[in-house]
Amino acid sequence: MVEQAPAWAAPLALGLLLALCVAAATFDAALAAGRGLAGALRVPWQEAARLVVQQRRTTVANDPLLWRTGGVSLLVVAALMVAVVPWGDWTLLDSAVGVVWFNAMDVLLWAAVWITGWGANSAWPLVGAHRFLAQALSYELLLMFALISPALGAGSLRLADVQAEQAGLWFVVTMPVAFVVFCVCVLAFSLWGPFAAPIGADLGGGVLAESSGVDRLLVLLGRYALLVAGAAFAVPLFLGGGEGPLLPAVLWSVVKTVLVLGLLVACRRRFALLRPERFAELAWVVGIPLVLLQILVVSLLVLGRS
Amino acid sequence: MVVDALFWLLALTAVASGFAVFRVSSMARATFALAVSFVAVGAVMLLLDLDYLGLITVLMMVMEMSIMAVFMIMYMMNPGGLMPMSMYHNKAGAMTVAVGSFVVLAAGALLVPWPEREGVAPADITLQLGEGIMGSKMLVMLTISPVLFATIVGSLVLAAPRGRYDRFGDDLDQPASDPVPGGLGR
Amino acid sequence: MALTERLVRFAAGRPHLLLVECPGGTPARLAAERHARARGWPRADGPADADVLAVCGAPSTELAAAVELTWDAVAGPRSRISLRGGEDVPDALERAVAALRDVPAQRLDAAGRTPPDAGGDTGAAEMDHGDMNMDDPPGDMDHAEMGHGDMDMDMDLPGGLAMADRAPDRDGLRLDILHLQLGPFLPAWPAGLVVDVTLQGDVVQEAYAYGWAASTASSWWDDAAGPPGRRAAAHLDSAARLLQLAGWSAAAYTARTLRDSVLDDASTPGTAAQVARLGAKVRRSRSLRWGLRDLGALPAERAVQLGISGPAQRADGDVHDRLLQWLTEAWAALNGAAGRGGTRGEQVGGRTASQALIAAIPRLVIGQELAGARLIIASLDPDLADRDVADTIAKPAVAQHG
Repeated sequence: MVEQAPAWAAPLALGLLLALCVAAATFDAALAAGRGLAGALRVPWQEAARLVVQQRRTTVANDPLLWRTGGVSLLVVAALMVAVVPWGDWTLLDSAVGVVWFNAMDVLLWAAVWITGWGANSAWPLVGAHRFLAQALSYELLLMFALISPALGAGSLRLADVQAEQAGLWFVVTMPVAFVVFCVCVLAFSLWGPFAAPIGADLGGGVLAESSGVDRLLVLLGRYALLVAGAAFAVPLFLGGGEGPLLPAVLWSVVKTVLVLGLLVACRRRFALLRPERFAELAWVVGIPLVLLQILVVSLLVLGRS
Repeated sequence: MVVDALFWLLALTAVASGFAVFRVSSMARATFALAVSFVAVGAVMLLLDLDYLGLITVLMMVMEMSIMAVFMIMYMMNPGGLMPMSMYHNKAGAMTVAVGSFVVLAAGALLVPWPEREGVAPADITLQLGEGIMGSKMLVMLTISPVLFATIVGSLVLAAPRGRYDRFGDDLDQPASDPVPGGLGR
Repeated sequence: MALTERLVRFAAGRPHLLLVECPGGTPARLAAERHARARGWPRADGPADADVLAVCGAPSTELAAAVELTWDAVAGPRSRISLRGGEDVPDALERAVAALRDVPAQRLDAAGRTPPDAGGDTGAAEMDHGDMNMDDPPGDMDHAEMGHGDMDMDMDLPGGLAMADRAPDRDGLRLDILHLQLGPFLPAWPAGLVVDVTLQGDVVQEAYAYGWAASTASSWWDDAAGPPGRRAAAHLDSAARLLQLAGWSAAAYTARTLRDSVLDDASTPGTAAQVARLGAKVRRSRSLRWGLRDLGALPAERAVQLGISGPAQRADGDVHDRLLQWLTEAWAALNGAAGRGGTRGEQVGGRTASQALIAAIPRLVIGQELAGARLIIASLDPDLADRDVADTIAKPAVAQHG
């Protein structure tokens, strides 16, 4: 049974989030060709040091309030997502509607990324910001349906119940489509890999085209944090939570999170950019029918069981 | 105690940022001030243990405001929203109506003798909410959903400047021609 | 303070490099990319992301001004090097790192400037707000019609910026327009090319493409005296830039590595096979095809009408086809096929191949979205380091159609 963790666990969870961010950044650097793991270990720290000491740029008639708020928000949203994740038998916030919580936090990113691009008052970031909204309109329904599948299978929106329902048979077996779609959506809201269009090279950096220094660091760190939050969320939803032999449940949760995270990070080297105007049709014409079929299958399974 | 303090903080945030919509000079700030106001209302609902309704309020409103911002800015005079501007139309009248209705509603909330609670809250409020909406009113829901959906599709069809004959030719046998082609190449 | 110094020194071990290429600076750029890769330095997406600004080749007067704007947009600690040929690159990169590590000098630099980029330039592409048309007829600004209440027109606009002009868009609405200058310096952008675009939202409504006065150098790629395999390397270079823009940095990295090994020794046996493998990988990628297909379609006969020869004409299709054509031709060139004309094509009707490509840019990018326009331009990749190109494609007097 999942229990509410004591208050001192909150900084611990935040520390875990940041540690996994560093791990993800290191892994990404190691995947980049021409560098061994030894070289990669320094890279995230060098990048962070570089951005900490770098001057923060300003632009004419920018909107500092929205610009800076947007930049911080990514990290805040990721932390709020992680708050409801059960780590083995413990969770910081045992929400009865944890699945909806995750969805609501993800929607906050619509605003966060948009105001980051808007605030700079420059054409490239604004185009990037609009691109994110176009991308969000494409992935959001997919994400909602992918989130509904495990909730439907467990008959509860509480993550602890979803996790407990998978004793013996993980949901990834009965709902593989929902799992894949969920991972795709995590990439999409983390602006990662094929979904990095809002900060794409074809827009000269897009939303980040005018950001330097700490502002840039926060957004880049926020991206990794969102990947971590998405990976951590996939574990209780699809991968049986803390279930596993030998190790304590908490460790199994972390191990599974790390594996999903590695998979997500590796996508970056594998795929070209999926431009939002193209992804829209793909998501709506192919993705939504597929995930609806998945929900139908899950519903039939639930009906057959009862 | 903490809950009380949070309630007042969120309530004041909701009112203040709602008012800020009319005080800030940029369309983007106005839009997101309204979003903050809704988020604060959603958080108040969370304090009342209405988890699902509170989160759905946050979800819907932030999504709506983000999209609204794009349209507001698209159709306004100054795309950058740089022009100092005011959101008032008929300032005196609007103020009277707004402040008046706030006072009436707030007075109502404070002065009405609220009944004592009878019974206890159900264990799962979300379940009860679902049954309240879906249970006995399933027929209504089943009727309303297709009508709403048909309305959306219908208005899109009416508004779209290009139809399928523009895309596929008069005999509908050409490859699709779009200003910006989609991913499937249909 | 000691902490800051240590952080600065630590960070200087992996600076982000922004390469600014002037026409004729190709060998300097290639050498800089090669050395930066050996050191594990990442490439900057734009000035905001850069620590070291490397100017490759000799800038003309106009380009020198653009270099200054870009330099202004780089946030400190920063350093700037000028690369004329391939030989001095290792020393220059060392100098750049030393300059980044020189904390007192960086402090002085920071103290001596207003906050970076206070000029309102995006650096990557200067967004000239002054360019916005102020001469609107008053009737055009009918606020009541816009339904946004009583905006006071007498107020000064923040930052001294001008109001945007409006024009009908492709859906029949009347929306704001923005003039934006793409180039002369953008990552993965033909050196010295400038495209003035008029945007509505992110849709290009008007475009003028021209080259800024170049150096006297002739195209390095087409120099017959160069090493063999230059044709293959040129195509791999173009392909690498397009792949970079298409967001597939891993494939772009492979293409650049292959380009450099071809330039080192084109007759190495395994290279042609590696190029073939890259071609097959690019051809197989679904995500790339989804991204690039149907973009900037240029059928062969249309290309001939526009005076385009070379790979862009032979590809007979869209951006994706042109990318594959480069990789195919690179492989063919490594296998001893003698290509016709230069790397960009041959002279047709008094126009060089690159001139024809530049002239075709407006036709292809109008109606496209901004990012799509960049991909289309990268898929044409004209080479402005051709003396004829620089001489004859003058900057249009004033592009005042907007």
